[in-house]
Amino acid sequence: MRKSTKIVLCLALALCLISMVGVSLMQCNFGKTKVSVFTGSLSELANMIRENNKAYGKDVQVTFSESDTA
Amino acid sequence: MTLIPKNATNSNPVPAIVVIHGGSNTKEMQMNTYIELARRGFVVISMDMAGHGYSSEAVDSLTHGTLGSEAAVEYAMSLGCVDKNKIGITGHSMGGNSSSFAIRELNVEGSEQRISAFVSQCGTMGTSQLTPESLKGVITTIGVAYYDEFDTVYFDSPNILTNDAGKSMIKKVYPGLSGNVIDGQWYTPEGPVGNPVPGQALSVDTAVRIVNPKITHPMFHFTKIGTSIVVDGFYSAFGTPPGANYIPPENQVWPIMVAFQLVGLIGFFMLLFPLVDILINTPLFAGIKRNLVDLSTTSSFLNVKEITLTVLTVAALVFIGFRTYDKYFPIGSSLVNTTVYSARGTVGNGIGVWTIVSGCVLIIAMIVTYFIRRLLYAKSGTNVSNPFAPGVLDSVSQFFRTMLFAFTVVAIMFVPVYIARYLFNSDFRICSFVVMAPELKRLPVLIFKYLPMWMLFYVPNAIFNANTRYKDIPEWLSTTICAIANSLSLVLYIIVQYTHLYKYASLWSPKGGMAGIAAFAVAPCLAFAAYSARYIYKKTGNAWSAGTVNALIMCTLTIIPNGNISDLLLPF
Repeated sequence: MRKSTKIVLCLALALCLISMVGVSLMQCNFGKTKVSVFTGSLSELANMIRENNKAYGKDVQVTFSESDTA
Repeated sequence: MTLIPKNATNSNPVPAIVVIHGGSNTKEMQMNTYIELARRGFVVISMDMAGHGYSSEAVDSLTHGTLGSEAAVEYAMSLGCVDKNKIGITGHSMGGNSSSFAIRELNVEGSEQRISAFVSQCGTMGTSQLTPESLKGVITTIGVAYYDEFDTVYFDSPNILTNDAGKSMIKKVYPGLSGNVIDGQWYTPEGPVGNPVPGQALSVDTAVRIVNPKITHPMFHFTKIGTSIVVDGFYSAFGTPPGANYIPPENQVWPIMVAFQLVGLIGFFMLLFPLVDILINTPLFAGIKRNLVDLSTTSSFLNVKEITLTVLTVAALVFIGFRTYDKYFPIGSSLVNTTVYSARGTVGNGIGVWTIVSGCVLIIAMIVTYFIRRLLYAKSGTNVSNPFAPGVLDSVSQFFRTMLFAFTVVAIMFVPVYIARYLFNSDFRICSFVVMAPELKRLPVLIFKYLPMWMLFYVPNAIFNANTRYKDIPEWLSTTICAIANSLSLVLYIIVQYTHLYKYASLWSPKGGMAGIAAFAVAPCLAFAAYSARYIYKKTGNAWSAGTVNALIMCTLTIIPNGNISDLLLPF
């Protein structure tokens, strides 16, 4: 592998890494904000709402359709 | 994506804001909003609308226009750290429309699950869904961009403060309105009220205002003024969240995040060059190498015939690209069976159809210039080579190896993108020009339905690029000629469309609102494609490898943010 290829490869990867870390830090406000991602289905979300109701003594009604297919 | 700041706890519940992106975007597109609201102490939920980003398409028909925002609101209400009586919602464009639908669905008479603050970011169309009943108890900010690419057409946005569309929005809360609407003025059911003290909420629970900043549609979520309107809207509704400090709306840090995302975007594209260099020298792919055209047999640029032919060819490509973009992008967009609230895949189809047309035009241009050259050089006896020679392969096996090479290069390029997604919850982008990790289940659709359209452009483009070489001008200059031929049509389109918009407050091409916005991302892609194609061709002598790598990258970038990529009606 040529030296210039190695340099460009390392630089490109470094830029990607700087980007990932920087964005992540900005999103969590340097640790002051907790960030979580939910990627489940609507029925799973509905179950989470019911569990939250139990855990926090709330009575939020699920009004959206829980079906996952049209 | 849920963002919970430290001040939000079960013992100190705070207001929550549901944030929704626009059509053909993803939740990350609203990062300016969610970053700024979360650092001010609000709990924020930024969601992918149904059929966008990583959301399933299947639920789309079940969400009665809310595209999932109703579910996000109810989830926000259920969180222990959230005051369920202080739920706000904001969305840009189609996300603004889906926000209005959520308010219509939830804020019905007798309901205790009501949304109590709303900021519409260019979601003007959806506000027709709002009724006086649904706006009771809601602090509403309707942001209508003065130079909005869509609202200038549908709502005469430069005159929104004086026309019936604007007045009717205010009259839903304040029926007694007489005269024109005042920009940024709060109207309650009893009449106008002054702005609250910074950091404090309005003293009423129902109010509406229209804000008409002099920006375009996408600028609403990519400028400080647009972001300030959103932040100010929720401060006016809820005040400073308990346990948080007031931060003036103009104090914004999201541009730093944009800079980080841009750095990643540059890194992503830089990866292409060393990867090609490394892979082409492996035993597996060494066989795809072909001989480069000998520069000594190529044309001299510095003669009148060649300069004239080159200028005319580039001018023709630019002119045809310019005219067909305006015509075929809207046709491509309309190929999908869609409604205004389900504009899935329209950008991909719009660009895809234009790409097919441009590829065909390019092939015709190469054939025509070949015969013109033969006529021009007939007397001198100069040999005019076959323009498609760089695309000739030795065998079927070489073709499949070339495809494997292109897929391998692009697959490795996306490794950091997947790492960004799964380990850092980030992607690489600048505004709507996005590199995000495609879900593997969507790859067959991308490869078999969409990729052929892009290949029909990028492979001939790479062949044209390989041919556009002259023995007496530097390499970079001939590549730049190709970059101009590729992208100048869209640069011209942007100039014409937006000069007209800023001068006359209306679009030069009223049906080209989305096409104009997309052109900002496509034009640099096309320019970059000229340089990457030349680099790959120089390394491989194989125009298929250059064209396919470009097609794969650009197709993925165009299609993936649209989320749903199974709608294309073309019979591939």
